[in-house]
Amino acid sequence: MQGFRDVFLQGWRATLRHWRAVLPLYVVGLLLGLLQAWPLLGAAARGALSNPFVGTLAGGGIEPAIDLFLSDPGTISAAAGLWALGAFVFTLLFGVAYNFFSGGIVNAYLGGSARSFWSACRRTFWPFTGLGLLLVVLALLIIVVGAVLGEALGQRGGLIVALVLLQLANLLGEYARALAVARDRRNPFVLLGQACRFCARYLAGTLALALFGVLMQLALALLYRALAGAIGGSLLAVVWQQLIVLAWLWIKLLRLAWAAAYVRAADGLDVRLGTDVALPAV
Amino acid sequence: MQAAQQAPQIASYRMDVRLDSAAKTVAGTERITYRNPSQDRLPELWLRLYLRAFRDLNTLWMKESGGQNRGFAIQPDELGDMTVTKLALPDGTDLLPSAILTDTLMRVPLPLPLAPGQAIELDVAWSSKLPRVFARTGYGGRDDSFFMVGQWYPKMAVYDRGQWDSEPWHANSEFFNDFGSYDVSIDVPQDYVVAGAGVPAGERDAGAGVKTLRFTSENVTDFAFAASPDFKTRSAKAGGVDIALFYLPEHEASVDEYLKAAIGALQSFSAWYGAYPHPRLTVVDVPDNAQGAGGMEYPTLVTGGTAGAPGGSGAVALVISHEIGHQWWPMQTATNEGREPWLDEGLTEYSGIRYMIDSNTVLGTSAFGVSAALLDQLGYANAPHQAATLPAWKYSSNQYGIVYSKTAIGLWTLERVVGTERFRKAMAAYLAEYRFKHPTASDFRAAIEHSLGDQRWFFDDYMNGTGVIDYAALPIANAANGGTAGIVRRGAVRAPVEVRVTLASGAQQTKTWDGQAEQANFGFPAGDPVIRVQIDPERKLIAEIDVTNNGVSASPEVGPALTLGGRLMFWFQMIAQSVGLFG
Repeated sequence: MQGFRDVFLQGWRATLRHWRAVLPLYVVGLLLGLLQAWPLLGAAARGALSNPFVGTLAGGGIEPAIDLFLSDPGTISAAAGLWALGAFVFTLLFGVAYNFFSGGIVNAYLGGSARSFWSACRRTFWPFTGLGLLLVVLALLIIVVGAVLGEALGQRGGLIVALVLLQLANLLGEYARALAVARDRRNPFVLLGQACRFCARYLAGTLALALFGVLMQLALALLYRALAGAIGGSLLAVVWQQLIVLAWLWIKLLRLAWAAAYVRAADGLDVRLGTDVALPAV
Repeated sequence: MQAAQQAPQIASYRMDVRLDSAAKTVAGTERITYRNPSQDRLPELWLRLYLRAFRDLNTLWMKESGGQNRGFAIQPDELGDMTVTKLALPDGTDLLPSAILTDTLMRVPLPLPLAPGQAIELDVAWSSKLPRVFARTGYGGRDDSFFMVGQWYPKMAVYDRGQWDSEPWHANSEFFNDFGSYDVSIDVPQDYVVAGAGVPAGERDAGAGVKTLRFTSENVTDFAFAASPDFKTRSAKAGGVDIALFYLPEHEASVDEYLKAAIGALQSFSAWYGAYPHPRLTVVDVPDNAQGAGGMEYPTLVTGGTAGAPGGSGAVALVISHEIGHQWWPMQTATNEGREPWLDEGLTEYSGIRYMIDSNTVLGTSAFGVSAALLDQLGYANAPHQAATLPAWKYSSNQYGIVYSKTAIGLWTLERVVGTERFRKAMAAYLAEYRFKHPTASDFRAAIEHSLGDQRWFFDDYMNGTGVIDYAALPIANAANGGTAGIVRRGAVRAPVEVRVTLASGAQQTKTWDGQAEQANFGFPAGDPVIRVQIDPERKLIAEIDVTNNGVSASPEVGPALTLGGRLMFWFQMIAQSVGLFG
């Protein structure tokens, strides 16, 4: 239990000490997000900025969105389709950015120097890209399994099973990244196999940390929902939303930091931080 | 809660029938007592044999529908039919040889014309073969042991306004019935539970594993029943009305939603329109594999179904409140549902969504639900240029939904324009004048306009017309001699509309425009420029097709635009961080 607590605390310390690690991914997301705000440019070009309905839409909620759709279903559907396509392509780009930066981030969490950040990013980019593709295939298989199980368990049962399996796949990816940097391994298949073995060996600890991360994101979502109504459609909402985005990203990196701390503890690599981590009994 | 008013007893039935659960038939005898309601002498009578519509794939009904109804297909090897084996007067005079059978109608010449006000009795024997559940009737469920028995007996057609309603049964069409009373005895296997219309009036052992259940129903236009060995029951009260729910064990989770919706809808519609005039309402839950029997109304009996939706999702409430709305339209105002379907489906759809909205019942969960009106808004937006008042057979199956959605959205708009209290009083006055009669669209309009004044925009432009409601704000013109706020009518429907104008001083003025011209300009004195114009600020015109052009500001609204851009950016970032950071 003492060891688990140390891993838990080391993850927090690492993300706080290397707080700047969140910035590259945040900036990439912000730039892609700015591009995804293109419908506003279209509206401005048509002189729609002097239309108070823009304010109604900015206030959020389903009703204004429905009104917008009903005003011209064909055009709005086409625009929404284009937006969704853009979101898909940009999400892929964001995934590429994650595959690039996550090596450097984990390296920093494992005690790597600031100078080695970019070399770690370059070193792990292709292995992590391969790992990402493997995980996408795994996710698609899980969705198929969920659909099949949905026939037997009902839609809700199938959905729950699929969500749990997706979280487990996500967890394996995080530990595979940590193992890649800690053990300098490059083969995505080997990394995924090692992640499976690692998580199976330390099942209770890895699951507990994953669950804690999920609960933090759930709490964040509830906090956003609770305060969104009070903040309304003012410019303050934009600031609030960006804080949520940053916090969401930071929780993801905290999960990576936990994975790195766990791997480091397991491999006896805890040198730089001077913490003697005993592995949790599971 | 019961109304003391009695319906004219025009077509009454006494039946002894037997449900053969193995053969999937209902057979028996009936004595029809028919009283000539007109001032004409009737040389012939007309009977309706609805189940003949399902006897093969070449009937009018099947040709019009392509063998499809509400997304379900008829099974060619499990069709329905109805065969009359006896049709005679009480003195034994056989009328069957001279009867002429076409499609779903039987024309019966009489030995002597029926005088005005005179009654005649007919003795009928028949057998009905039920289809696998299709278009509201048939068998299905576990081991095919569930039965929904509707449109199942030889029934009198309606003589109204000098002619028989001899229109054959069409695929989109429902029914047109006279009022009367029913006394029905049904033989079923001992283990069956029967949900009958009206009120239970006794049960006895008929021997050989069979029991006889008797139901009576007064001041009604039809009789139907459901039967299943799996039915469980729950009961409740809505004022003085007994509610009996017959549900299937697999839908236990939806029982509370059924009862809450039934109680709420009965009480709401009774308060809005006038009392429910019967002592009991029976609610029938149908199996998931027999959903073609769900979502149907008969006098004092409605059918629902969960359609696979979880309990409390609003799906059951939506269907049940709609079907209970039918207990007013047309069960109390026996309109011709084929010729003027909007008078029953439209008024009922409106009633149902207004109940859902008034009771804060949404589709989905309370946290992530949408208004029940959304389905009608989408349905209307799909075909806004279609008139809503045509006969049922003038619409294709795909178009027919406009009768529901356009009427519902339109009536809600009318309600908001004239005020809820005035509107409900007008509807109540219509019901009071035409309860237990056969009102037409003209009668409805006369009653509504008698209460609310001229509503040409609603009846002529909107319901009968193909135009839409659409107003747009024109750019603000501020000059040295004053400011002008202009609006233009882009749709053909000339609905009255309010315009709120905000001045630079912060003062607001609300103007009302009758919408008769194509454009209106409102002038304001110099010194206090117009900064914003908002059409229909209280959103009374629910049926307006495009509300995004309802406002204009004198200068660009930069703050809201940035906020909207920020919102688009935020949602992308959250999607990207949830999916793109996988692993």
